[in-house]
Amino acid sequence: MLFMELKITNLSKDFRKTKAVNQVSYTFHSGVYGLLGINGAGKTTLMRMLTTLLNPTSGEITWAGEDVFKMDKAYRKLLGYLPQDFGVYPDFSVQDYLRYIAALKNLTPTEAKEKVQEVLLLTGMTQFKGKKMRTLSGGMKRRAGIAQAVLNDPKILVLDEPTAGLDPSERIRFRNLISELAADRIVLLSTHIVSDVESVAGQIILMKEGRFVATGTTEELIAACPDKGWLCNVPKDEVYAYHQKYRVANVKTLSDHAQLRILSQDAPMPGAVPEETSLEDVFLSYFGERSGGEDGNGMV
Amino acid sequence: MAMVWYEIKKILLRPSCQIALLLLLALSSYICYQEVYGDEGVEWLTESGEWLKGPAAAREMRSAQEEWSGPLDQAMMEKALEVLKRYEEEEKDHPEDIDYRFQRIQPLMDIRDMLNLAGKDYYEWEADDFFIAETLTPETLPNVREQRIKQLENYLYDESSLAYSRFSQNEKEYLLSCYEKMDETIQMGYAQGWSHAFDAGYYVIFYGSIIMAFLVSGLFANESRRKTDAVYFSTEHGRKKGSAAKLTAGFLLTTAVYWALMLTLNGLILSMLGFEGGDLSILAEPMDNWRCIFNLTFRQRSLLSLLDGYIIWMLFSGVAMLVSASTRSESLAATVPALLILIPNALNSYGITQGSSFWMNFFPDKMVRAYVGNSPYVLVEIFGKVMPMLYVQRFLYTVLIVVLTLVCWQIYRRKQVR
Repeated sequence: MLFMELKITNLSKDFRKTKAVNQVSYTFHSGVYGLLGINGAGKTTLMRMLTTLLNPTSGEITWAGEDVFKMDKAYRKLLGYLPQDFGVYPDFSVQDYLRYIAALKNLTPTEAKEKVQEVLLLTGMTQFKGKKMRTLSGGMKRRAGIAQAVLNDPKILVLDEPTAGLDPSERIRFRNLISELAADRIVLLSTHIVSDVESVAGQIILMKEGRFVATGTTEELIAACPDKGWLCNVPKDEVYAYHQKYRVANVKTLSDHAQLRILSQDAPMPGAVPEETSLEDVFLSYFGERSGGEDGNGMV
Repeated sequence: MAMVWYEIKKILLRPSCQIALLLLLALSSYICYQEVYGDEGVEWLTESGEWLKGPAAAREMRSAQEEWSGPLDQAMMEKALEVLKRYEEEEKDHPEDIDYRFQRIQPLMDIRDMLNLAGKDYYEWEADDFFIAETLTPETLPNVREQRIKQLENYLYDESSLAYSRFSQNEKEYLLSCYEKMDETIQMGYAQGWSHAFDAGYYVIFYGSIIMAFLVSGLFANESRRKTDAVYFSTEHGRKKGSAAKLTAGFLLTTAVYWALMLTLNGLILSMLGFEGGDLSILAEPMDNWRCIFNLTFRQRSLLSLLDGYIIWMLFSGVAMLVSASTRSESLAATVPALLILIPNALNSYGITQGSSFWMNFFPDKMVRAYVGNSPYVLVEIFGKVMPMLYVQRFLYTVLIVVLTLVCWQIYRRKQVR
C-alpha cells in the first residue's frame, strides 16, 4: 500500500516583486481537496509547483517524504493534471491525442489502447473519439482534458478550474465525475466557483494573496466564519447605504422594498432574520472586498 | 517510438506544413523540369534545324558523342582539330545557315571547350577565348594537365593578380598540388544526366533547407503557443524522452524528406538524361569545372554533394528546433535558418563580402556552393595543413548538429511553465 502523503512546507513562489505563493504549508492525504480563492489568489501557481511545472522560490514539496523535484519522473508518474488553460493539438483526433499523452505517460501501445477506451467511456467521449480536437466544444475539450489526466490512473489528480466556461449541466456532470475519481487518490480541485467544491470536496482550502487563510471541512469553515447571514427588508432608497456599510450577498427587489442578504457578526438592523450560513457566505466573508467593487462594498 | 510518430504526425497534419511540403514538391518539380526541358536543360540542334530538348536531345547528344568518347590524347585532339577546322571552312560556303558550324560540332563541344581553355596561358576568361581552338595546329595542341597548372601558377604568382596576396604560400602550394593530382589524360564522354542532376540538387538543397526549417519550427514553440505545454511537462516522459522524441521526429522527418526528395530528383533526371558518365572526371565538362580543385568523378561529386546537402538540412533543422525551444517563437525559428543562408549568399552574390571576410566563409551557403564549378577557392589552414573550407565545414557542422541537439534538449527539458 502506497503511503499517500503529499506535503508542502513553507512553499513560496516570487515573480519579480510579486509573491504569488507565500509560505504555505499543508499535508494532503487521500481525498478531494477544494482550493478556493478569487482570481489572482495564487491557486494556479501553487498547482504548477505541485505538478513540477514551476520551481518554487523557497520551501519544498514532498511525496511520501521525498522531494518531488528530485523524484523527477517517478513523481510525475503519479500525476494527472488538467490545467486551467487547457490547450489541444487541433489536428489530432481525440483518440490520437489520448494515445499521444498515453505514450508520454509511459503506457505501452497495448495498455494505451485499452486505457484510452476506458477513459473515453468514463468521460462519455466514445462516440467523439474520431473527431478532430479543433472541432470540439469547450465542454468536450474539458472532458478530453479529464480523460488525459486520468489515463495513467494517477495517485495525485490536480484539476485547475475544471468547470470554467462550462454550462450548468456540464458542471454537474464534471462534479459527479470527480466524485467517481476520488477513491484512493488525492484530488486537488482549484476553483473560484463555491458550489463546485461544496458538493465534492472533503477538505477546503481558502487561498488569498498567496496564503492559505482558512482550511477545514465545509462545516468547520462555516463554524469558524466570523460573519452570519441575515435577511433584512429595507426601503429601496436605503440599499446603497447598506452596501456601503455591510457585505451584501444578495439583493432581491420587491414591489415596495428590497430584501437583502447581509453578512455580519451582529444583526445589522432590528427585525433582521438570521439565516443558515453557507460556504458561499464564508467565501464572501473572506474575499468579499476583493470580489466586489473597487470601493470595497462587498458586492458579489 | 510512439511519441516520435505522434510528433511527426503533429507536423504532417498541420495545414501550413502540408502547404510547405507541397511548395517543396512544386519547387523541386520546377527545378527538375528546368534542368531537363527548360533553359538550363539539354538542347540539341538537328540537321533539319529543329531544336530538341530534354530526353530527345539527350538521346541525340549521347549517340553523337560516342565517337568522341575516350581519352583526350594527342590523336583525339588532332582529330577534333581537323573537324573543327573543316567546319570553320565549310561555314563560309553556307552563309545563309547561321547554325551550320554549331550543328556539326555539337558532339565535340566539350573537347572544343577544353582546347579553348587549355590553349592559353592566362587564367581569366575573355570573350575572344571562345575561338582559340580553331587557331591551334597539331604542333601547338596543348597538354591539358600542364596548361592548367601553368595557368594557376601564373594566377597565383603574378603580382598584379588578386590571388597573389590573397593566398599564403602554403595555400598556393596546396592549390597547385590539387591540379597536379589530375589525371594525365582526361576521359571524355557523355555525362549530361549526372551534370544536370547535380545542378538541380544544388537549388533543392539551398531552398529546401529553408522550407525544412519551417516544417520543424513549430515542434517546440507550438506547445507553448497552444498551451499544451502544461500537460506535456507534467507527464512522466515530457521533460526527457518527450523532448528527445521531438528532436528525433524533427531529424527523422528531415532525413526522410531529404533523401526521398533528392533520390527521386536524381533518379528522375538520370533516367531522363542518362546514367552514363558517372565514372568520368568532372573536368570532362571543362566549361563548368576547369578551375575546380576537387579531383572527382561525376558520381563522386553527386554523392558528396548529397551528403553535404544532408548535413546542411540537418543543421538548419537543428537551428530551427533550438530557436523554437529557447524562444517559444515559431516564426523566429523559421526565420533564423533562412537568414543564415540567404543573407551571406546575397552578400556574396553582390560581391559585398567576396574574399574580404574570413568568417563569411563559414556560412552554409559556401558549403552548398563548394562543388559548383569555378567557385572561388575557399581554403583554411589548420596547424600548417591547408584544406578546403568545405572539409572544415563538414566536420564543424556535424559537431554543431550534435551540440545543438544536446543544448536544445537541455533547454527544453528545464522549461518552466508559468
